[in-house]
Amino acid sequence: MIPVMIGVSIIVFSFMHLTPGDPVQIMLGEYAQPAEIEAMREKLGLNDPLPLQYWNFVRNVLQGDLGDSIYYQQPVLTLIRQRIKHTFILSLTSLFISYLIAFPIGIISALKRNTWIDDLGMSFALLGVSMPNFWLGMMLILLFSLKWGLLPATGVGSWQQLVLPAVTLGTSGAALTTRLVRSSMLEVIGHDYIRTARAKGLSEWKVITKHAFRNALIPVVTMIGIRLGFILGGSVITEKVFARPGMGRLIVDSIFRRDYLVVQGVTLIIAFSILVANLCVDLLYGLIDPKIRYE
Amino acid sequence: MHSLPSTFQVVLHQLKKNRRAKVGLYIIILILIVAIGAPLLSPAHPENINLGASLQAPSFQHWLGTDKLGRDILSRIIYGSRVSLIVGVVAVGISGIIGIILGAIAGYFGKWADHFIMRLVDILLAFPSILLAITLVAVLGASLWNVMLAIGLVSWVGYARVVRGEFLSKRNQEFVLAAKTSGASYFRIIFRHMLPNSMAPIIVMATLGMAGAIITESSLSFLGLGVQPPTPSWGQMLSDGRTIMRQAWWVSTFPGLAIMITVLAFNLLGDGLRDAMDPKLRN
Repeated sequence: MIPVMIGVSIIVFSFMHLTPGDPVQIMLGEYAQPAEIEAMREKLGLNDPLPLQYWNFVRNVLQGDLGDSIYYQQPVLTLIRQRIKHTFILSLTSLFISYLIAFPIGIISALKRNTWIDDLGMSFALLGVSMPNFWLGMMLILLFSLKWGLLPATGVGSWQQLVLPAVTLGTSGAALTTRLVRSSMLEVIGHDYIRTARAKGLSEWKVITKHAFRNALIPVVTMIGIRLGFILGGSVITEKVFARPGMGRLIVDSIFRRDYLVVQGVTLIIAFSILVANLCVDLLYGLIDPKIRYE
Repeated sequence: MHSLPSTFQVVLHQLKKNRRAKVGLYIIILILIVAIGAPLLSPAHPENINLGASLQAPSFQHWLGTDKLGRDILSRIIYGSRVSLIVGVVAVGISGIIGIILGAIAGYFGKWADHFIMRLVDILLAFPSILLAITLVAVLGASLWNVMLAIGLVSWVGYARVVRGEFLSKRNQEFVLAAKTSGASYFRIIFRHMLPNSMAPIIVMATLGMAGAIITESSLSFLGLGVQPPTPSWGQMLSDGRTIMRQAWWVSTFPGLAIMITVLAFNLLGDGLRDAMDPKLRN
């Protein structure tokens, strides 16, 4: 995990240095005075040798200092703190919705394999990932907000405002999990212990829920970390469509404003969240699958 | 004596039984025909501006209506299919080449090469790929080529992992050992012996990759980082209509449907291929 974190920090650090031209000039705009530019370069430490710059960057990050936003004139960490809640609420709700779609469809498709029900279920699941996220969001706004006036289209605070963005993001994440649930159910159902469970007279419901589903769940759980990464990525677009003040929207706006320190800070937080989620999944894995034990 | 059917024949046989994959394949063939025959099929020139006919609802004259500049939306969708397919093919090509080469090196040579490449994969997996694509295009500047390059550069990880896995499992099989003993070079063993035997999962990834690339292009266009006007791209048409959704729903609805149908077709085919190649799921 440590080498990966170092790698992540190097990539994030190099963001500013990859940009063609002088990043300070771009940040301050074309009317900036040479003295201002020089002062900014000095403040950001851009006159130091590259390894020293990287060392200072890492040291500051470890001390919880992500620098200041040029646009907001505030510490990047403060900006993130104001927004992180909205992004995580959206991501977790979307994750929940995607499982809500994936489990029933995946299980039924597996049980009714190669029938029209299977075809319909899997096509429906794939439909979610086949739509551009923002387009689905726009269509939902068009119908539910503009036409029928049932749900608010923008903002944060109430659960009503969470429904449309979470459905938008959750639908796009459902396909992969549905496929995974279906294929691992298909695999499990073929095993001898399922035949044994049936043979000893258990109800089909018990066989499916207690014996098949629990074992089919293992590959699904290991994917949670990757799913979270996908959903955090999707939130970038979804937050923009629904005008939610989250980290995704902050990063996109900052990319356009050339507010590099914000881009660095938010990317770093998102990447570390994904790494931590993956670590948790690895640890959780041992709990769900008794075959795996960590020494 | 009966010879065993080749992998290819088995897959083809499985695929014929898979209705979803067949539907996907037929739709893709249809879209290819539309893209190739665009000049013959489209009722008007896609870049023909007619301000007198701006924002007309679907009618007999303009089946799918017109956009803000009075351009025929159906014609733009027909021509836009070319852009989407090109973006898909080129992006998949770039990511496929990078991923296959790195995956092959990792899987064939193992040891520190494998260790190094897999750490690189872990690092890239910590970033949402759409975020990297946005940053890359923002840095490089928005153009058709940069969009394809960015999508290609951020999506090779999947290929690398698949190819590495395949190579690890084949590294010590007889046909590889035989090639080694007969004095074949690394290059020859990798590209003539191992890679052709690992093509199945790569083809699945590429099919699903087409779907992903088309979606990513549209997301980049939504942020103003996609293919630049006047080239008709579905993603860009879609975001054009965003601000006028209330007055003219058709401007963004139809390009969105075009994306959805195309991407669904690739997903259906890729999904069906994956099932067909998975020996565990055969009945």
